[in-house]
Amino acid sequence: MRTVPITLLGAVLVFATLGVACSGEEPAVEDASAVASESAPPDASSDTLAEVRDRGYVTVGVNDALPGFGFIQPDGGFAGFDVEFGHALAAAIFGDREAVHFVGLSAASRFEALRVHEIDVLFRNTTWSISRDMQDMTFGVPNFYDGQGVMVRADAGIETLQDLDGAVVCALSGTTTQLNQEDTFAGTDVSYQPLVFDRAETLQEAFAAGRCDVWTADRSQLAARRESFPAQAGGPDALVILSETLSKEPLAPATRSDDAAWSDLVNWVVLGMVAAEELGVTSENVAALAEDPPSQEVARLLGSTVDGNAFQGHRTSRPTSCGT
Amino acid sequence: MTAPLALPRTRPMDWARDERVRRALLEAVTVGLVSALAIYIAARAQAAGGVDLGFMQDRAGFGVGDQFLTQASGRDSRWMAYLAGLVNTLRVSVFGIALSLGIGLVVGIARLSSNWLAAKLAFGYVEFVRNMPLPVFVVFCYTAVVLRLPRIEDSAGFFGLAYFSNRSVAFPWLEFGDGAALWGAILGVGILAAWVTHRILRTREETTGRPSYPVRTALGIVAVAGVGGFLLAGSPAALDTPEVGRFQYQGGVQLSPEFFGLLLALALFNAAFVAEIVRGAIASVPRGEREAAAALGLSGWQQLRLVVLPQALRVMLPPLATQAQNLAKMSSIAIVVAFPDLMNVGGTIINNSGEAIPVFILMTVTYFVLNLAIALLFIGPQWRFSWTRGRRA
Repeated sequence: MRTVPITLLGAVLVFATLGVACSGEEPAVEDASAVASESAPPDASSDTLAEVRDRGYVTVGVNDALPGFGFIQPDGGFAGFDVEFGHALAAAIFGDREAVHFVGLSAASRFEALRVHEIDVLFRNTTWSISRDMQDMTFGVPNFYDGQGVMVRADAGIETLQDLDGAVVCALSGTTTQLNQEDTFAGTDVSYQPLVFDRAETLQEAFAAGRCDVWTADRSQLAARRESFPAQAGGPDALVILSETLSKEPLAPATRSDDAAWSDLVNWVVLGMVAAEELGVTSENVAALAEDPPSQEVARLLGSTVDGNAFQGHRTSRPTSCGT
Repeated sequence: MTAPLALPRTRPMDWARDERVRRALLEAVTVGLVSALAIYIAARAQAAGGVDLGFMQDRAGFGVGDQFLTQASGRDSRWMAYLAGLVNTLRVSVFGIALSLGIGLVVGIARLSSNWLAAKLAFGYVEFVRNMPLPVFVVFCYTAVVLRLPRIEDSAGFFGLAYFSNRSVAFPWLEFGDGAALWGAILGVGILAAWVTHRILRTREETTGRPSYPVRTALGIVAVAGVGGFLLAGSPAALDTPEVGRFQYQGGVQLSPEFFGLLLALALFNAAFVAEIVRGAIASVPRGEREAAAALGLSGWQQLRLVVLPQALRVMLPPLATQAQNLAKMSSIAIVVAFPDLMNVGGTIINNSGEAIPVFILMTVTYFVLNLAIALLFIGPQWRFSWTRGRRA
């Protein structure tokens, strides 16, 4: 129910911005802020951070139907990998992980939602590609490196792609999957028999019946399919995803290109999460570690004892010293 | 006034009531509309960048899994992949039409049978299939029938000669060596000789009434030519039997489960419609014909074969041609069971090249030509019938 007013607000803001850009008339802006009096700042053109602070929460576009990345739980709340980054961003800005509103977006509507200020940042398993980057949005640090992978039966004795000579490789149509696998095997002696289905259900049925040796798709999708593999066919443990990857699909957050400072903030939240993960900093031990940092790196990440002003002052200042 | 009272009054627009003028007008309007549509479509195609098929010569970049006679690999051009898809469509259509005609004929005759069980079974089959959507039926035949065959590890064998599993059905095939051409030539001459002998002997049998065994003699000549030619050419062919490999069978001829699933579904689905056509055609033959045949002392099978079916065939040929064309078009559903037919391969080409309109035009033309060919195959016998009838009249 949140989406409707926010969409309207976003649309009004864009019209207002365009009005300013084209004619420079003041009344357009005042009209906009009057309509959106609740949360919109007078100049919404480029200071997303100020906008978010005034509003009191950050709006994050996420997937609402992809288990693992972003999905709606039975209680109505959002959960998933991408959703956690939204919480992290809220924590970075407000010190409160709940100061965030999630907007469930479809693949088709996600970029437009960002463009019209319906959301502040897009964390929706979005592949960073040049054609998207060239438009009026910019991509941050990938938070997930996806890629085309291969899944085989655990008892098939297949360890690497080289063991696949003569195997039946099943994939879905309508993707670049076929092209990638052909590119991968083109220079090798490995010959394979492709089988292209149009529906994942039929593919899964054929795989479970032993018709396919290999199921190839994006690794994240394979993982989801593996988790939900029917128990009568052996369940998830009957399958393994090989470590080899056939293509690169970096999934990254997207922001509007007109606000470099905001993009930096999003980037450093992602990098900070990665560093915290590596250093074992969690929400439980962060207070204790800040008091008594075990290493210089943790100290630098948490801004405790490092000389100078890194991480000091306002919480929302960008952790510029992280990782360098 | 001496003018006759019945003289028609001349009214304005009287020409519009003339039947010939009306027809001519209607035809002119129809022709005009059709040509306008054709010109419009051609202009749109031109505006969309024309139909430049140059991209079809690029590297395909994808393999076609199940191939028959063709050898297209990812390194070949897109034309080769397209050809492999076309051959697959032809293969499933030809076998599907033959099978559905055979099954449909039997079921259609069974529906009119005096045997209660046969008639009810045939009725149940026809109604079951006719009330089911094709995609459901195809997926059912594939997942619930073909995929339930044993896995390749537990292949069911047939005396070590043939195997079947849900990987494929493999059976032995002849591997030709040197001298195969000579053998083929001898066999060809033998068949020709057998045909001529058959005609001569049959004519003699018909004119003199003495039994001359034309069929047996002809078959004997073919057998002698086949075996003799084989030995004469130095045994040019060996039996290539399949063996169970790790992922696939090695050797022999292999037919994929996708092919079988699709073939099964298309044949059974269309056979139900063929059965109804056959039933209607047989019912259209006047009852007296069969009664007359029975009065002559012909057996039930002879009545059907010699009297009823020849007359029914004339009635059923046009709808059968339509049904055969339907089957060829329905084969484009192949992708739901991953069979790489024309539509499946064409879709992949569109995905990789982004050239949707040219590929769709290409596919349209291909299916159009294919269906025209099927129509001609069925029209041929129709001409023969009308010609024969004309001569007899």
